[in-house]
Amino acid sequence: MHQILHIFRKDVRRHWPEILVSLVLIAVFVWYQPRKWTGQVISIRFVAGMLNTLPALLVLSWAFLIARLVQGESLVGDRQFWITRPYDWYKLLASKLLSILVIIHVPLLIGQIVLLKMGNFPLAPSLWGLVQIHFMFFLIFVLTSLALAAVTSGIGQAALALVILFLLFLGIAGIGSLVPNSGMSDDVDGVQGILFLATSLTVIAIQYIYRKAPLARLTIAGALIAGVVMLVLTPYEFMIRHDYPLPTNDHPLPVHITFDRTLSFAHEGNQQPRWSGDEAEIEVPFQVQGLGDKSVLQHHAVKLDLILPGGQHWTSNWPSVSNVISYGRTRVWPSISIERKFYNSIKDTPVRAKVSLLLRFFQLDAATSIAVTGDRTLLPGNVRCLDDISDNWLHCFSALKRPKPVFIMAELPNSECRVTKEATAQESWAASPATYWNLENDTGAEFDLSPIQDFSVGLTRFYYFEDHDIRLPVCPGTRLLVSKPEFQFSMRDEIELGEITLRNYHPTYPRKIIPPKQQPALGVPSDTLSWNLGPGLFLRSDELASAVFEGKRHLLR
Amino acid sequence: MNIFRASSGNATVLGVNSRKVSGKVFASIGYVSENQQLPGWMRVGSLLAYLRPFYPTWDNQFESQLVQSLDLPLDRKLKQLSRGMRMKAALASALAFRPKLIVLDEPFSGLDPMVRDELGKALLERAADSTVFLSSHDLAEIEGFATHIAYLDCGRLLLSEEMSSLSARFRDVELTLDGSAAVPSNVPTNWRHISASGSVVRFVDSAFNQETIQAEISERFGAVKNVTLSQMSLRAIFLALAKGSRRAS
Repeated sequence: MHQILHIFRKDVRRHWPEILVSLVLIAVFVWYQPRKWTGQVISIRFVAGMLNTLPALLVLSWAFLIARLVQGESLVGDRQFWITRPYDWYKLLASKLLSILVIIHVPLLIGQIVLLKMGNFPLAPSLWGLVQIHFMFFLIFVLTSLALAAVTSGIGQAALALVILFLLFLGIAGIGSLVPNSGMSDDVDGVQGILFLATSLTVIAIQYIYRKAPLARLTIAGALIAGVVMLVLTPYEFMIRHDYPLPTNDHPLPVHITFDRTLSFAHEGNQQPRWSGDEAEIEVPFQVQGLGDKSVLQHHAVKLDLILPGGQHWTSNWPSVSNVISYGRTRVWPSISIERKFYNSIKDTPVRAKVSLLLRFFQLDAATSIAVTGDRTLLPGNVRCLDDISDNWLHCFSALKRPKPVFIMAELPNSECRVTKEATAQESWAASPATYWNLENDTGAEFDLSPIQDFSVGLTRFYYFEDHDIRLPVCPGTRLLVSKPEFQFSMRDEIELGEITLRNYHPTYPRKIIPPKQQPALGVPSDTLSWNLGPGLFLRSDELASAVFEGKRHLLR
Repeated sequence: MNIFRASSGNATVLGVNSRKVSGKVFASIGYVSENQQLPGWMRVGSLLAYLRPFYPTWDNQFESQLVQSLDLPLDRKLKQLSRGMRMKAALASALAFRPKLIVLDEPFSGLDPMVRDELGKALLERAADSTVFLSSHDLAEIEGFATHIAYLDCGRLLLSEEMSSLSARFRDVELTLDGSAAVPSNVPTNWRHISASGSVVRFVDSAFNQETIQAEISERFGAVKNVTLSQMSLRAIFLALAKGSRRAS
């Protein structure tokens, strides 16, 4: 321990300017965060710009500091004075870790505690979350920086290595974009994460125990190659089919999704086809029936297969999408991108089509009803929100993590707070309520420098045909129904469309849908109750609502 | 010193396998190398203070003596010192803990004669308590105080023996004959680099024996007008060995 502290003291003496810069940046970060929460404007543009880059500056200053600490006893080369002195490798490594703990983690932790106090969030329930953040920060950032510093002999070399690694990762991402469905597997991401972590640990061990820089560098190169091989050779299609099985008699699909032949997009003289870059984004209408009142269906990915007139097969593979279908919804419009040149060559030709959907089913628990009474709202999980009517959303704050998974419904627009004329100009509203959802798993504290999560909750409601939606204001008098969705199972649905003409499903600007012959009443916006809660959505209590702001007006003044 | 990985062979340092020399073993070894990177940001005083706790045998009094005798400026940063002064600082930090073994890799390279002399003196003062292991290309410099000599050529150990024995067994021999000289075919193997020019024959005797040399010469050359036996410098001995070794390879 004596040697560890001795080396630590030497490092502090040597690197005090870098340490001072890091501490000042943390102090400025802590000073600036509450101003950012409350939207205070810094009038000097340059200063405002610098303040917005603070997280990046902090991370850079820490990476620089770690490189300097490690390279103080450089592990590359054979001319360093320390390698023929009685250093024990584990004590040297421990001293560097101690420096990182004391110089980076502890000041950051203090800053985070101060921020929690400033946000008036209780400290004790947040301690475990803070530990989680620091552990993740250590695994992802500290170990990577340490490994990079261990295989380089100076700051210039470390910076160069960082740039090379960055370019390599860009290259790998580029390769990933060429590999069909590579974005669809969380398992591969997990294995690659473990590979990344194991590589960092191995490189650090090789360098501190044996000082074999070429071997350590080879390990990094090997890991990168292994990552690419894994990316290219993973049988994504097989994994998707395994993770999202087709329904069976024993496990039928709990919702009925059928192709709606009655709807298509109009292509009239004044309407321009909409292009997304060099791609046509077609939207195919499906009718949804039979979804339970406590069920939520996440539409995770969609695949379009076409059989062209010549018999050739074309597939979109599985681009990831994220739509949610909840109780009251009657339609869904999955969108699929097709390369513009190919689309133009077949847009007017009837083709046989099949759409496959990857679906994830969730069950909602009993909802908590919360009345928005003023401009401030308290959501479950000690989430405090400020109603930002100008942007039609709730500006929310929580300690360490955003509420997730969460599903919120509301009767919007309500009579207290009508929407703008432009928003109501086109169609009437769909029968389903306005919703907000986040179906990500609760994985604990968010990996963020600030312990206060600053986010928006916007409730959107679909127009009549449910092909597009709009965010609506949450005004006093609104009742929010907040539920926690619980994941049930995943399934795949394959729907034969028969022969279609793609052009009919390519939206235009302005957007216009050719309605079915039995046309619904259009053009009369509803500002009254337009939906009914399902019988299963029993309310929990109004206790939360009545507790709003009782002694909790400290934040967001 | 386990700085480089050994590709083959075995060696022990203070009884420890050289491949395992690390950590605490270095508490008994003082190592100074001509191209060692010292922490330039440190002052001489802070370098010594920093290294002190690493060595249980560090002798503060001896450290002061070394600082004084080597005339080290304690308040100067190492990067501001001349090469010679840096070497002296490195030497002080390698001697102050009274190591059992002092390993010096080209310690005199590029130093002015004054500094060489000071370093040499400092080393000689330690000779009674420590083994000094010194590698150098400057043979004249080490000839003065080396007791044992080893010669490595292209990674092969060509020679390892006491300096006195080495000096005793090598002679530069020059023979002047009456007529023109020729190299006989039956020369002993210890006569190296034998050559004849006019009436003069020259060779290096690597197993010189005062009592038998005259008889051996007479046996091969008959009557010899003059025989000159010169003691060889370390440099000359090494040159003779190196030439022989390279010719053989």
